[in-house]
Order: sequence, then C-alpha cells, then structure tokens
Amino acid sequence: VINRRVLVIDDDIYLREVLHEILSDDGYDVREASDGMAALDTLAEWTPAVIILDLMMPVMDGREFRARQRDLGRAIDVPVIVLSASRQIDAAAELDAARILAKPFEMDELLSAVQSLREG
Amino acid sequence: MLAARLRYVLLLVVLAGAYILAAKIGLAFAVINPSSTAIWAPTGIAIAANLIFGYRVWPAFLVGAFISNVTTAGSIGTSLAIAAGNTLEGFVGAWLVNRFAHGRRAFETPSDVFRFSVCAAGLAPIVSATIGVTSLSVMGYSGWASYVPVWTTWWLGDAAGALIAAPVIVLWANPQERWSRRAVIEAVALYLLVLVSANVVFNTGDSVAARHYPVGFVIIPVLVWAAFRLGPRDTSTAVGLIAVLAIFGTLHGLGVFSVPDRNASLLLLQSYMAVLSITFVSLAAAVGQRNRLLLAEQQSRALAESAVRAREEFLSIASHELRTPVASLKGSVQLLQRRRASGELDFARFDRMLVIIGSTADRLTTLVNQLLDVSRIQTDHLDLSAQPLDLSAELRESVERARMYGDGTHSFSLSLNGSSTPVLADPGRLEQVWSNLLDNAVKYSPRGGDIRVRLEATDDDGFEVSVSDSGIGMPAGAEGTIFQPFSRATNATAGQFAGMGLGLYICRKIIERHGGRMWAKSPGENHGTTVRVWLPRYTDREAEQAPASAQ
Repeated sequence: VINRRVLVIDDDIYLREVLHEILSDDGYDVREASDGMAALDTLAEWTPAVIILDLMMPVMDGREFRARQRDLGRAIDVPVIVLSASRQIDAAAELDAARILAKPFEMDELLSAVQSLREG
Repeated sequence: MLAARLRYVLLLVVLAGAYILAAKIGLAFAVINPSSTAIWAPTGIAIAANLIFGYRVWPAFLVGAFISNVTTAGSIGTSLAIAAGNTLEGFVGAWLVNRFAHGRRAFETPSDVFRFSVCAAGLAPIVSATIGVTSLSVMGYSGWASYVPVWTTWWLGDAAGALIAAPVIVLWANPQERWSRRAVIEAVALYLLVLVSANVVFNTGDSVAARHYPVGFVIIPVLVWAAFRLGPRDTSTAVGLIAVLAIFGTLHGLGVFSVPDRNASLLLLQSYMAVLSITFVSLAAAVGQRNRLLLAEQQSRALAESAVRAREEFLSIASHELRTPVASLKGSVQLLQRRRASGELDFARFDRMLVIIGSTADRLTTLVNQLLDVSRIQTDHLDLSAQPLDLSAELRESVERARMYGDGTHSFSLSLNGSSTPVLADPGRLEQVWSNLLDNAVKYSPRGGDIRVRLEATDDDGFEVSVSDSGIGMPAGAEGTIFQPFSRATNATAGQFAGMGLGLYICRKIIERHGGRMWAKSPGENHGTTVRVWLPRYTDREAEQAPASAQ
C-alpha cells in the first residue's frame, strides 16, 4: 500500500482548509491539526508520509512540536516541510526540515515537494 | 508642630554635646597654645552638620564652642568671639561646599573631593583662625608677636579636622546601600588591618620607629584596598581611625612622627593625615565614579539590546501574521484555477472559496490597520482630532452597529446612567475602542451569550464604561498581560480564536491618549470578562483651552 497520508499543522483555519482541498484534489489523504499538541495526538494513531508544519502557533509551536516528537519517538522518520515567514528561515533550518517553504508559497511548489518526499 | 520644634531642640542639644566632647578631647592634646590643637575635629562636625541638617543648626555650635572655650582658657569675651568665629566657619564651609562641590554629594567624584578640600579645609578655617587669634591677641591672652604661628597652627588644625572628620560624618549620614554578607566581612577585615597597621606605625616606641624607617608607608596599601573595594565612606572612616591612633601615639612619644620637637612632630602628623585623607578619599571617589559609569553603561546596553530583541520579535510576528493570510489568498486563487482547468468547479466550492478570500482580505485589512496604529503609538504619532462629544450617544451608536453586524445570536443590553455625559474625544478613535471591545465580547462568548454595556458617572469627575460578556473569561494573572502587544490570554490562543493580540494594546493606548484608563477583570476561566474604561468629564472650564489642547 502506498502511503498517501499528509498531516497539515497550522493554526490558520483557512490556510488548513485550502491546503486540505488542494492536496485532496491530488489524491492525498489529509488530516489537519491546529497546533503541535493536537498534531502529536494525531501522530499517536496515524502515521503520515509527509508532515506540513507551521512554526508560529499557539499552545505548542513548531519548534516545540519537533522537540516533543523526538522525545516521544513519534513519527520521527517522517519528512517535514516547514512553512515559515521569511524571517524564520534560520530557525527552520535547525528543525531538521526536509524542505522549507516561505509563506506565501506557490501551490505547485508545495505539491511537488510533497510528491518528491513521499517517493524518496 | 510641637513635635517638630522638640526634635529641633533635641538635635541642637545633641550637636552641641558632640561638639563639646570633640573639643575637650582635641584641647586635651593642645600643646603650643591651650586653644589650638593638631586636628580640630569640631570644625569637621560643624561643617558636616550644616551640610546634613541645613544652616539652622548654627545655635548648637555657638553654644557648644562657647562652653568648650570658656571652661578651658580665656574670658567670656574671648570665648564669645571664638564661638562666633567657629560658628561662622561651619556655616561658611558648608555654604561653599553646597555652592561649589555638590554639598552632601561632595565625595562622589574626585573633582568634588578637591573642591570640598579647598572650600571646607582651605577657606573656611581662615574665618575661625582670624577671628579667634585676633580676639586672643586683643584681649592679651596671646602676644601679637606670635600672631602668625598661632594663626597658622589654628588654621592647620581646623583644616585637618575638616578634611578628616567631615567626610566620615557626611558619608555615614548619607543614604546607605544595603550591606551584603561579603561587604560586612570585607569591612571588618579592613578595619582590623587598619588597627593593626596603624598600631605598628604609630604606637611602637622601639627600634623600628626610633630609627625613622619610613614605616608610614605601611598604611598606604591598606587605604588603597579601602578606596578600591569599599568606597569613600569606609576609606574616610579608616583615615579617621588612623588619625585617632596617630595623635594618641605621637603625643605619647611613640611612632614614626615622634621627633624631639613636639611642634614639628604635630606638624608632620597633620600634613601626613591631610595628604592621606585627600589622596584616598578622592581615589575612592574616582573608583566609585568609574563603577557607577560602568553600571550605567551596562544597563543602557541591556536596555538597547532588549529593545532590539523586542523589535525583532515584532517584525517576526508581524511578518508571519501578514504572510499566512496571503498564503491562504494565493492558495484559494490557485485552487480555483486548477478546478476551473479540470472542469471540477461546482458552485458550493466556488462560494466557499469566495468566503475564504473575502474574510482573509478583511483580516489583512485589520492587521495592516493595527500595525499602522502600533507604529503610530510607538513613534508617538497617535494624533487625535478631539471634539466635545456625548459619550452616551456614541455608545448607543456603537452598540447598535455591533447588533446590526453581529451574527444575530448575541443579545446586547445597554444601560446609561447620568443625564449629561460630555467627553472631549476623537469620535473615530473612540468608536474603534468600543467596536473592538464589543467584537472581543462576541468573539469570546458562546452563541446566544449576553453582552452588557454600562455607562456610569464616577466620583472622580469622569465616566466609567464597562463591557461585560459571559464568555471564556481569563485565567488568573492575564488581566495585566492582555494589554501588552502580541499578548493574548492563554485560553484565547487555544485554537479557535483568531487574532494577533494587538487590539487591546491599541485600545488602551487610545484611551490613555484621551487622559483615561482601561483595565480588565475576570472571575476566572469560563466566567466571563469585564473590560472597563474610565474617561474624564469634559467641563466648560476646559472649553476655552480645548482647541489648543485637543490636538
């Protein structure tokens, strides 16, 4: 079975919805989480092929999510695409991200990143 | 009133007593003339007291000097004249130090220590020596032939007293820093070493001192330590202790300054003590000044660094908050294009995308306006065009607008108390505040929640507006932080509530700009929140000045 699961972690409800629709159109199985805490809960029972992660979020931000993920050993092998504002590129680099996309990004960019990471 | 007068009299009695005591001890050591001595500490006491308590203390020294002289030598006439001279000396010394050397703070910089030395030790004793010696000569208690040597001894004694006693008294009377354990230990060690070394230098009659080895230098490293580590107060105290031991030893024919000619030996002692005092008190002042500058520099650097960090943080959050909605906009548009190209676009999805695009654009507009407001606030450019307004009418309009544009599920109640409610305010800015508070009340309360707005006149000539909701409330401690930029109560950030945390910050600044106050209270999470605004009443008295002050 080819894993077509993608987890979208972002506090912005509209951006989550748009990403969900676009990824679904390309045949991905998408789940959403509004912050790192919710994402960890999802990962406990559902392992995606790719994680799309925002950095600045309430409750648990992207950085803390990555740290907790390592501590818990939860889906640490899943490649992560970090969505960041351009000023956070350095911060994103520390997070062991497979790709870093600066907001606002092109949907084609995101889709090809997801595609290549899922296959690689 | 009576207590103040009693305290004053008590102060005079204490000062006069201290003066007489110091004078008696000093006179016990007088050898050339019974009225002049090597280190005349009373001069230091008088100048210090004038600096600390003000010039009103002069009667204490008139009485103290008279009593100590009349019981020593001379007549009532000479004693009165000497007392007048000594009193004037204390006043003149303190006046000069206040005028030229920063008064009680004369020991904080080397240049002030130097000015203090010139004023208190150089100039003031001229007054006392001249009046005292002249009156003794006129009355025949001292020959005119010995006028100059007696005058010089008098002047030198008073100068040494001013140099050595005044700093000790002033510095112990000034506000003290808190003692740390380490400082206490170090001070105790210093004073022990002072006692030991001064004893070696001035109280040994054996071969070491008798051969006139320069053991006087032993004192110097001890005072260097005091100056560098403990500051002017302990340095001057150490010098004072050394002076006491030195006088005692020298008069008993002991120590390095005990030469056969007693006059020469006291002169040596005097100049040695004066040099020690000026040198090390000014060194201590220089070290203290340097430490204060270093501390100030460190603090201003820390402040600048935290300002830079705050600015970075601001840019980082603002950038993120602006870029995320733009990402949604681009995504929505690209999604529409892809669906259109593949022919899968149905009306339901099309409408949903339009809703997302519309509300995202609204949010961006709000964000940009808020960022502009924050920038105006932080550069002090939040300008108001204030005019007299009826606060009740403004509130009624704002509540009406909230009711109209709301989702229709919340109920609004408005209670207006007070017949006349004039305020001087910028109508646009005020509306911004009310609509922000009402929006928050709607946002943070469940569908169908009650929102209550009250207006009341207050005792302190103003009006209090309160906006209460039955919503999620705030955890304890959030009442203060929610007014800081980019700050929201923790339960407000938990998921479903959008916002950057700038609204209340801006609102409070607007209210403060109107001369008002704004604060919030919540009985706890899920028990609702009440935000209160106080604005000053606009009165006719202000009306005349209003056009100028309104801008």
